[in-house]
Amino acid sequence: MEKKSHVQVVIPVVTAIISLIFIGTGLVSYGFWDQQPTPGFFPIIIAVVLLAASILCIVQLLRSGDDKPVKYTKAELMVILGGGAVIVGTYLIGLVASCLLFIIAWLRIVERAPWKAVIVIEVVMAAIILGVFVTWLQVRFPVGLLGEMFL
Amino acid sequence: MKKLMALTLALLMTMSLAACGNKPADTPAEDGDSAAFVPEKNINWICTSSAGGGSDIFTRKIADIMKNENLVNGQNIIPDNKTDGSGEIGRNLVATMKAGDADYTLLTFNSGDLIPMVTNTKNRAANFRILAIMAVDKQLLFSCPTSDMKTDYAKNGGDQSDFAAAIEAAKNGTFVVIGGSKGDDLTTYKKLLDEVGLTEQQMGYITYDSTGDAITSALGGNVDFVISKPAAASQYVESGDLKGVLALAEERYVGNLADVPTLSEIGDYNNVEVPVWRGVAAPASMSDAAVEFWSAALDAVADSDAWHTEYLEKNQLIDQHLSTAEATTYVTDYEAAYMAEHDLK
Amino acid sequence: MENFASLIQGFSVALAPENVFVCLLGAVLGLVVGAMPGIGSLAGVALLLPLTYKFNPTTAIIMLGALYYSNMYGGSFSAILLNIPGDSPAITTALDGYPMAKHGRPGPALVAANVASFIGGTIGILILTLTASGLASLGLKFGYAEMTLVLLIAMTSISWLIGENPVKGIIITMLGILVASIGMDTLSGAPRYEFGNMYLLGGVPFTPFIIGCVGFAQVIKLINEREADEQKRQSEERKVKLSIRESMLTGHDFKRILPPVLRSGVLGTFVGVLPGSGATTGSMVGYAMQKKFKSEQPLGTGAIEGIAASEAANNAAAAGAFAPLLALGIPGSGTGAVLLGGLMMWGLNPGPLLFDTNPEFCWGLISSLYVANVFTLLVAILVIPFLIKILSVPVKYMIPIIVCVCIVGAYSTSQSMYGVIVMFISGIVGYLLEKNGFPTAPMLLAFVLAPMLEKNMRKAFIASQGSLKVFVDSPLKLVLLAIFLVLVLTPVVKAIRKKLSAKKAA
Repeated sequence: MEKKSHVQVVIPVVTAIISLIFIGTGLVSYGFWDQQPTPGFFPIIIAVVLLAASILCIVQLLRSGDDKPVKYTKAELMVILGGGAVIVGTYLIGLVASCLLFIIAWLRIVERAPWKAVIVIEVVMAAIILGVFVTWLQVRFPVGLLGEMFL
Repeated sequence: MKKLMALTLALLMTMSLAACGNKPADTPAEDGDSAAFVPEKNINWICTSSAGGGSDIFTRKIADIMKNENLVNGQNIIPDNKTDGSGEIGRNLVATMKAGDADYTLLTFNSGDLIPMVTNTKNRAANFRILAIMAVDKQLLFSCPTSDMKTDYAKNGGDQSDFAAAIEAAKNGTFVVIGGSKGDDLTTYKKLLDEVGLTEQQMGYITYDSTGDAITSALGGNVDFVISKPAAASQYVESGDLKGVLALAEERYVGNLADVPTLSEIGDYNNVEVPVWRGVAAPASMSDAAVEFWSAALDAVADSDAWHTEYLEKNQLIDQHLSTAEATTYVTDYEAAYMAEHDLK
Repeated sequence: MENFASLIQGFSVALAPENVFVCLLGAVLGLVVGAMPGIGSLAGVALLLPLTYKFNPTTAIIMLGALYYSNMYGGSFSAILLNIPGDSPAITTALDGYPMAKHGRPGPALVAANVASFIGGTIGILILTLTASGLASLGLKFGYAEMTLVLLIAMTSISWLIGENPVKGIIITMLGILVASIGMDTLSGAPRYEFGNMYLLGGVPFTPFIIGCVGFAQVIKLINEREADEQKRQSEERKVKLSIRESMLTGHDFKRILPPVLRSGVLGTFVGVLPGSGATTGSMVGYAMQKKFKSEQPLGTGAIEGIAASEAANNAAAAGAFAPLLALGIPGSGTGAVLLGGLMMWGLNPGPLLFDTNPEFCWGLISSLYVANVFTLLVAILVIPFLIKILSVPVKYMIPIIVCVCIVGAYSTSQSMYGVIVMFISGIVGYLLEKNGFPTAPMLLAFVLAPMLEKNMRKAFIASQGSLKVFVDSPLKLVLLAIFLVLVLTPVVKAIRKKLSAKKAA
């Protein structure tokens, strides 16, 4: 898990598949031209161009031998997992609580930041989220399962 | 379509009967109900059409009257134009709203909203509380003869203030183009096309996101005619920018639209009329106490002078008001009839 | 000039003490809201509209005008400091603003953005004053074919951002267009590519998409810079210039930004007037045009000219968009539509008669735009030194903060978790793409412009019954077509020439 690597060619292969899906669905369900352009017209043209470009890109990469592995680091994965954790947390304990908890957890566990910095950041963020978004702009953030039990 | 017309006729009759007798029965149960609902905060009124169109004017007028007549305990009603996904997102939001917020949420709901909703999504009228039907609206064709000539018809010397001439021209191979909003305007266009015996290749239709956009394009000369209800077009008729060309109604309008002929007057056709009912709905999870409150408030609006003079008469709508119970039955039947006719499940 | 007499009268309304007060209040609120990622001018105006119900209509619209205006200023703050464009017009600002801030000149980048906004906005308002209703009818002269061509011209701005590998650039652009085509097809009123999903029916919401692709994707990469940042901090105790004086533009900077600002100001105003184009198209066309002129540094690497061109154009377009709103009751943008709703709330009938029936209102609004513009500039310049402090927070602390800002912003703009999930997924996708050498900026621009292009093109085809002749049958269209072809073909011709001469040499 330390260093994952994969080949660049994956992206154009994925876009080629996406373009095939759009072309297929488009032709079957939305049509291309019926005296005038139909809903499928524009997306199908675009998807065909995408398909052509993807194939060209694949050929380019394979021919030039330029297909260097791309390095993904564990740290990057951590950020993604962190974001995911906040989203999952939102359904359980609400959005505001999970955001604030995430900041504490990240700063203490990952960065080992001193408590002083953690508290300052926590207070500023709470002030912005609660003061500006919740009170002033009246955004109603989800409260999660926990919040619903109490409210 | 026949079934819909029959239903609409039934609606007209129910309404004319209801107009005489049902008022006292509808006032909310007074003290008996321990948990009577009174709004304590701002009310969110979702309108799934753009600002400036017919539904929007309808929404804002009711909100205005509710406030002026002090029907909402001094709270503000905030109209919210949610037009994402042609309004389906806003309707879904209301349908799935949780109890609590539901008591403070209203939705403008008319036949032009219901038809695309049942056609394109799984959302159904049963997912809402239908609070009332307030009025029935009809359409006209307008044009802007002074605009730049950009269409084939105008460039070939066609007269945009004469629809009979446009029908002839279309039959002889000059393309005529009509603009309008989605939903009920599109239905009306198709009916008009059937009646005058033209195809979409002879007289085409451009769908706009809103009636406002459609009128803009008529002012810019991008379409020959535009379908609109009187309310959204009245400013432009007054200023002389738009001219009424054809009343899509069984009989002529009155006032500043009195000289606009119906279809049977300009040729050997039947009149085309697609009545659009305008109603108010709420989330299914709205509490019974709140339903009672809003139902009474809407009844009071429908009875007010302001509603009659400033909305119905000014915008030439038909005065038809159904309270909660009748409106619910009516909308349910309307939906069932439409779905049966179009094989929808 | 009759218009100027009315304007003077307007000033007497706008300068009444209570109006000056709400104008200032609007400027401050707008700046704060605009600087919050995810709350663009549309959401900002919509959220604050209820605050104004207590005022009389003229006071209320003055406040909203100031708000709308300062929102545009604020949008550039997060774009430059965090590389998160809070709103679509700021995408092109971030392209040069963020690199410039990273190169140690955040202050001048912000000031340049605001000075450009001010001058661009002033040009827009001046043109609005002089021509008011005439300008609006000019917008109506543009039919669908013309709009299609204008949008094609705007699309060429994408090609400048593509980078060294054109094939990858094309892939990413087309991908952006396909993502944008998900949702309701408004011309036929039928769902398209929604794959039976209720949420996809409403399409992929723009702001969460952009916050994800730019903001979240960036924070994923940012983590690798932690150590470098830490070392830098220890070795030189880097000092970010904090005082107003050091944030100011040098005479040389000013000379660099003036020509693009003037050009973009005029161009932006006219783009803003076109129905349904708005500030985003304005800033993109402005930025694309700057590519055609000389900049001291190449655009995209932190050139101050790029910031100036896009900011001046978007504020000018915002002013221009008032012309059709006031003169015809046609909202030129989403924000315009909200303002229109506000006008009706106060019992005014926006439409062709508004200038005649409520002159004090219309001119009060126009003159308040001047006042708001001045106030916003002053307020903005005063807060810049404090904003720059954000950059002195160590990178490692910024990571969780930005993650939360992205989530909170995405939720606020869409009022649903769907927005947050869109943000999260597009963040991961944007990160993967960039890792593999695909630039994401073209995708965002394509996402905004393509739906407008498609709508106009299809309407043109309906009106012409599918004939291509509709794009060449008037002098205006021919001119637009010529501009488009020149823009598209110059790089191609240049490339061929290069190859030919390279062959000759070999």
